[in-house]
Amino acid sequence: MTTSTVATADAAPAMRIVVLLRRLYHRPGKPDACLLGRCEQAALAAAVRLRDALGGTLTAVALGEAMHEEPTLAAALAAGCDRAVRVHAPACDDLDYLGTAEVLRAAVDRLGCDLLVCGDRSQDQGHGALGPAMAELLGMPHLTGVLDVDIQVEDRDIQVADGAAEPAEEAAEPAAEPAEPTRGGRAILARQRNGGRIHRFRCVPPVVLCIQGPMPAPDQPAPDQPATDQAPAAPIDHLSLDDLGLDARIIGHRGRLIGQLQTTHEGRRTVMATSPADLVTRLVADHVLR
Amino acid sequence: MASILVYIEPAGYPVAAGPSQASLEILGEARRMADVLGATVYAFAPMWTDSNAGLAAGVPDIRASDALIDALGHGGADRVMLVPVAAPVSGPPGWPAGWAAHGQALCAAYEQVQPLLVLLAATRAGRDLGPRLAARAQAVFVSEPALHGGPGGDVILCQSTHGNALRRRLSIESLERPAVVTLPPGTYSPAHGADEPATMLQSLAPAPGTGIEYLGSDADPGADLDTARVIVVAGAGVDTAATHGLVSDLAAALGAALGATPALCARGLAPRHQAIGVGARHVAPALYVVCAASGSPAHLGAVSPDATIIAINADPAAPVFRVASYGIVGRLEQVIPDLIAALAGHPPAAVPQ
Repeated sequence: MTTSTVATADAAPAMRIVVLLRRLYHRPGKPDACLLGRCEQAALAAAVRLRDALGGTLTAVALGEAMHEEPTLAAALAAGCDRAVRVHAPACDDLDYLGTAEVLRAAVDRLGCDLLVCGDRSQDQGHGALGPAMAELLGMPHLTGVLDVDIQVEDRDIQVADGAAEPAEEAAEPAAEPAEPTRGGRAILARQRNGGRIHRFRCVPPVVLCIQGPMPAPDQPAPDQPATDQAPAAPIDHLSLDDLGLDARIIGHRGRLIGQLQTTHEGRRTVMATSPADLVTRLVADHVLR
Repeated sequence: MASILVYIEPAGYPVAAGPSQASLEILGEARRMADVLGATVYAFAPMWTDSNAGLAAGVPDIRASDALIDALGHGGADRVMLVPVAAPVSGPPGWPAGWAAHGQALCAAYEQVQPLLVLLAATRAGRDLGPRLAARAQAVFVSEPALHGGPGGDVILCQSTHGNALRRRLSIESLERPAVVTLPPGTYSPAHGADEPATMLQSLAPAPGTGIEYLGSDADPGADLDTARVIVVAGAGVDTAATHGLVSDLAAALGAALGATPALCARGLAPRHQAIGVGARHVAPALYVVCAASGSPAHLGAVSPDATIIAINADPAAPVFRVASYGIVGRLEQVIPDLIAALAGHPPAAVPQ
């Protein structure tokens, strides 16, 4: 196994990991019963495991109103994040992908970041744009659709996440315990589904990873339940646009680029068949079947 | 005159066998939009080359260039921008398409063309490239919208959100800046028979390294779901192996790929590679048959809004019946055998004969 090096000094600089989170919404302004979408759940789990394997600090960052995002951040702290920061911007829910990224970039710059982890695409909006936009603004390489991550340290592989895809024949043995903070060279091995293949990459921080999987194992609880009666393990810090040196008028213009919101099922009625034969008759009449 | 820039994703690895089917579909749609908008269509085509000598000179394989230019010209391109992409000197061949391989060169093409619109297929490559290009260009980004004609030759982008329950509507004419748009594969048809062959512009410099190293690839056992025109999916209500077998039989009767909801996979009743859902796999079939699944946004949010959904569920109040086009209430053990019998001689129209 080849060695990938970031630092050759005995004491590697502490890794600063940031995970971007966002409350899941059933409808605009109406939070879902689940705190986080699937990709955000996977991103949080991956970020915690990367911090455990790489060492350093993990900060969860969310942009939004306190009533919606502070439960999200409290859950992130309960899941193992070291710190949580809520960023507030006026009309932030109406910002497009780039307006959101500009605000979050300023927050991430202020915190310092070697590794940015986020969900590949949100479950409600589904753009999949924030991660690549953050990478562009931060000047970091990025990978979208990351299925799982491993850590490569010297000549050992430490598996830190379950694979969403079937494990390859040459997969590393799973780690029984989280690794001690690493010293010397360290790189992240990531897998991505693309063009009918599962591709493998080696990423050396700084890098942005947009996590798509993995799915939680059957006996693994997903961090999607609000810690309603549980006080956060650490205080949640707050940042405003003024704290970040941003002008609300300049950011706000991105709100005009998201279009008009409409419902899609006006006048739609599901055609209910009375029997399988009736269903086939209707499908043939509508040219769904020949 | 306005321009539309289309990203042409290579088909196949490690040496491209021409443009991907999805890219030809997007190019065809670009041609149709250009005819309405009065625009010029530029096709950006990265070319793999296994000739290190040729690559060093920045010159792509001439024979492959001619074939690609012909294909893209007939597919609707007015101009073709060829980009030789480095095959690594050592290690596994064939970087997958995406920002690491093509991003810098695509940005250079954007700067040169200054398009009104950039179109990419909503494949992994397109979703990797599109948003970052949009951020670089300070452009609007729209993910997998439906396209509609507007008044006066306008083009309207309608993007579904919140599990296809809502949509955002944008008019291209009203945008203050360019737009980068990913379009779902399998939704559009390639153009055929351009009047004039496309003209090759100068080749752009190969993309520099980005700090991510490619190590190679393995087979994706669920890859058939990515391109399937008909999919039958087993939901959490499939609670026995025998019932799952019935769902599999229905898929076979329809000539469909077999999928599963993430909930069913999490219970170990279906392999993980079959999972369809946000955070698992997104699909864009023409016909999607949902067996004993509730129809949650986490599931149906990963299905193209253009898919015709048929729902089979024992619960008449299941949310899936509010979003499906067709439905039938009943237990799978009772519905599927009779449905398979009724389907004899009636294949899906989406599957070519």
